[in-house]
Amino acid sequence: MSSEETRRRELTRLEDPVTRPLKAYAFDPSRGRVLGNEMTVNVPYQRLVRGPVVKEFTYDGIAVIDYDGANGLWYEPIDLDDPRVLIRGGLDPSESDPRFHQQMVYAVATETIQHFEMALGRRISWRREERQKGTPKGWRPGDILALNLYPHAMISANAFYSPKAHGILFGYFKADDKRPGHNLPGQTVYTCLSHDIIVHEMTHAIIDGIRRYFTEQTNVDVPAFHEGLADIVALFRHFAHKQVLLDTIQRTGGALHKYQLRPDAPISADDWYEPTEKEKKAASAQGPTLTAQMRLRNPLIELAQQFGEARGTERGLRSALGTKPNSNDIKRFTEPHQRGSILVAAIFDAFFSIYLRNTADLFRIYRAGGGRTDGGELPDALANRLASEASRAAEQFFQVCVRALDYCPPVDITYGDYLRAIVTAERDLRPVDEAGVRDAFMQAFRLRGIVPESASFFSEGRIAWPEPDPALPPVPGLNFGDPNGLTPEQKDQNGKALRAYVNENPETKKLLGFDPDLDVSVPSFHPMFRINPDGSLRTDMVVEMVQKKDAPLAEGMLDFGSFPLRGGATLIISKPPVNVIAGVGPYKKDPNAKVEEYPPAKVRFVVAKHLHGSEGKVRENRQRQYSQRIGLLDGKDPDRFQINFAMVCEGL
Amino acid sequence: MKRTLNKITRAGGKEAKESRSQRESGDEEQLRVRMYRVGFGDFFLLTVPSKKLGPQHVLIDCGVTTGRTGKGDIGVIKDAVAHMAKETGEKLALIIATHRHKDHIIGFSRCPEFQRFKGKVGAIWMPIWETEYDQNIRKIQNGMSALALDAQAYVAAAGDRLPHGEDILAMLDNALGMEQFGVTGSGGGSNAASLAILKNGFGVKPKYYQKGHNPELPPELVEAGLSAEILGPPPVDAMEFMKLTDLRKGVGQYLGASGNENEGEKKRFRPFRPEFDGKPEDYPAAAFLEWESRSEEEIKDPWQQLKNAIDSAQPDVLLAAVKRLDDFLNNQSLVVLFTFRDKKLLFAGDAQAGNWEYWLYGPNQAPTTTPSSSLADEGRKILGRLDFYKVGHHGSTNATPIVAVDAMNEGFVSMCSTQADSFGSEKNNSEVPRIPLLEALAKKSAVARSDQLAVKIQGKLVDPAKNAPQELPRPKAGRFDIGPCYVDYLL
Repeated sequence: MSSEETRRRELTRLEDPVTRPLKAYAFDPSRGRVLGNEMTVNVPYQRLVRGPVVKEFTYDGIAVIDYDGANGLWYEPIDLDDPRVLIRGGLDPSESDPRFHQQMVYAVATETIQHFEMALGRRISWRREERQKGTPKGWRPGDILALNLYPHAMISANAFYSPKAHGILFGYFKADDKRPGHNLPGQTVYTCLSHDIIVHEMTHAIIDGIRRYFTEQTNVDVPAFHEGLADIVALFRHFAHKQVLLDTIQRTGGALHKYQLRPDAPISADDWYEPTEKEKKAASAQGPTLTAQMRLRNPLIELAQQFGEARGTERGLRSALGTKPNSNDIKRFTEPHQRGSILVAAIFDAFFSIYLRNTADLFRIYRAGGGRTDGGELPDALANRLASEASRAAEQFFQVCVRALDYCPPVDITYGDYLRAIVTAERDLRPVDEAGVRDAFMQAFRLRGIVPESASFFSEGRIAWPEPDPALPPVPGLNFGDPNGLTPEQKDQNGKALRAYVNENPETKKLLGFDPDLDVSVPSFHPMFRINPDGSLRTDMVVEMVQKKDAPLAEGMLDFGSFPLRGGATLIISKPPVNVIAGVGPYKKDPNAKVEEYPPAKVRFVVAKHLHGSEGKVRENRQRQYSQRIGLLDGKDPDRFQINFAMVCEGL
Repeated sequence: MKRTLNKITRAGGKEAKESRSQRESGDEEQLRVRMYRVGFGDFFLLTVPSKKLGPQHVLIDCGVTTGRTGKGDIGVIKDAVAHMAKETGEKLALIIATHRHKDHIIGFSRCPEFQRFKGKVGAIWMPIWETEYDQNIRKIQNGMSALALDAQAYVAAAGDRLPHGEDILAMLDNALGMEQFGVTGSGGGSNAASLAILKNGFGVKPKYYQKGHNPELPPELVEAGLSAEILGPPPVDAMEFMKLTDLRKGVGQYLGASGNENEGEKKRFRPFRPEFDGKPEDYPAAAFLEWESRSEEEIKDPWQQLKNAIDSAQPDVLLAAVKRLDDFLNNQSLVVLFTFRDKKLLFAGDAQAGNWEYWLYGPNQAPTTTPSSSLADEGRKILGRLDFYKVGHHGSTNATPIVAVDAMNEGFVSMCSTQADSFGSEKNNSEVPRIPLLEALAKKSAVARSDQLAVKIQGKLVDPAKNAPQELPRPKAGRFDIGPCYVDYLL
């Protein structure tokens, strides 16, 4: 080919598309094709090979590998670039074709990653093995480079994230023979075809990539937090499905939090042939005679319907609300899902409160015109406005919940910490809170007995993490890179700069809340690129710093062995404007000082969990007590301190 | 001659013959706790003196299991039961079966002497979990048994290929009282048969108790001055592990049952038509990037690495599920606090954290995110004035919370019925009995281990366990007496 020809081809080469359309179930196969259940997901375009497996090496890459451990079989992988697939916008939904399953897992997983990255303002990466001091550079066996997704790994009513398997194992099983719900008795149910289950499991993997030590069982909230947040993320996705949203709005008169939905037709005494007077009176107590008269459960707040029904429970797996809030459950529930449901309920309480507050004026206008919300249809225009509002609020709340992760301490998370992180992140990113979102969160948490341990008052100012000590020096030598990520050189430079910052100056170490006698490691640092309310770009870096000591599993009895007790701090560091350095005037590059290439950056938040002092003692006792309660006194395997998602997620 | 046990502590030979029973030694006024040595399992006889009626006997559990190593059963339970039958004149005021594990109940079906007790048992107490009158409970218990059976068949069929296979089998054997493939254990009997005997074989209907129930003591024991309080298990609806009903649904189908719990159809099924079968070569090499070598060491094909990771994931789940099943059954333990002349005796069965916490901290007050060093008044009061403690679960750490040890007073006696080298290992910090726990208890109490006794009965000789202490300590109050297959604590 001549150079002219090459040049011409280069100039006329089509750009890569922005998105790739792929079909998937909005919920799961049990809902058939009604209300947009068979949907198209427009996932960000990535170059793929058969699997699908992401071709380019990225830190957030995934690989769908269809190996069935139960049968020892491999299933034919899909080629999403096959023109026959492309021209259809992806394979049509089918329960009997494993290639559609692979496509759906890829599509929903990719959509979930994208969704998180948009909220966080940065690319995510998967779990990295803990490095000890002196660990050589390079990939370690426990690092996950590309998250592997196994759509049919096992025969089991289960799906779980497994760091050991470097990915997520989805099971398949036969539906209950007696009470299969919307399934046929004994039919095969695939967990990988549940939108909710994929999102839930992906959230575990994503959180593990963001906060490695949130899988270390240090207190009763840690596994519950993982479960709760995974449910929250899956449930908020429901509000993106407009047809379901509109239908639910009509069936609830706009009150989207209701657990039971109005059926299509009411039950009446006229349903029977010549009813007696007694039968007429008892009409409401009689069951429905038509399917259309059956009450429905609210699909927006119910998780994994097909899965739950197939196990004979006659309902979805879990729901966001539906029980009366109280402050006692938090003292009582220790099972991760049960305790996680308290967090889910608190978040959805805040969400629905804001939704109802934001739409109150619409209802007032409607009622002023003679409209009624206690039965009958709402006008389309009103239903559409309500749907838009619910959808917008759901997106906002999802973002709040995810962004708060970056404002959590790196170790030993509690629900109280998470509330503080939510309030802090919101104050940081949206200083003006006209809708009262922060207050809604605080009240919903308080109603369920979740209060921060160390805050002195239950006011917004005190709930938010305090500002760092003014004496804390700025961080020199940081390179914030650009939104596409950091180069290996930039990473090396930042790692060195951060380790030196915390370890080389005792005063800095003290101000960051660390035990002066122990070395501090820097497990992660991520630049974040977010948009301010005024439209300007803000660049921050979120940094995890951690130190560790071994504490005896039984106080005063060293023979019982020890557990890792960690302290740590999350730093939110802001990139300073390039023309100003710490108030000393215009920045000028010093050709002789390498480190001065980057202006020192201000530490805006230090979210710390102390290892020493009275707080350290309290935490040590708590972790010791929890370790004893869950039976960690026996054994030497360090992995026993990690959450075993296979068992926590038994029943997902 | 009464042996003072700080001088000679191990029974056997002439010494054993010279040891005396309560009647022989003229201790009619003293309460006696007898711990029989049968191996890894509980077999306790509490004898309450009564001037009016003569000694009244309470049997607390009678079982033994072989354990992970196969060394747990020392083969003397039948002789020990025969001894007990003679001692009690085949009459028991009360039988307590703390929970349905083999190492607590197998003796009832294995030992024919129990047939002679029919009509001569005053009362039987079992945990609420054995009731026939609650459909939900029955369903849960039946589900657990079905899961255990499926798991046992699966593990046995998988043989050596299954990681942790022996650990899993040992736990299942204890849960079912049956060895592999449903064949009765070497010593005979099964848990199901023992439960049937306890429920129907003695001519008295058992009472099923939970925390909060007021137990009905037979009149003879009331007359003798004994009183009892039920501390555990917690009420059924308060127990979080009700959630464990999901266990069967989680791993049951993996074990080969098709999903129909009743029929238990054993078949593996293929989810897709054979036309969709593929092979690892269908994937480009880039697909297995995750499994490529990350070190200089030579490794197998990347896809083989992947296959191994998936293949081993489910057995790990199975092991965890069976462990939970084991804990679940232990936590059903009936925990009884006896009081006699102001002396307090705590029999904790194999209760683990969830069971203890309910009465240690009070209902709904389990320590969650706030560390709690303060026990509820009830818990503090009970543990603060013990005279006797039956060490939970043969000395495993999960069954005697450290917080409970901390709260115990000093000067009481602990008895631990166990057999070293049956489960776990010191190398992995998992030996049972767990040495650091017994050391902690020994700081506060005089600890007697059953496996430190030599057994000489019916021509059988069993040496003390190698790692067990040579000597029994001297109790601050009362004394130990050693018999041919037991040790008595007289208080």
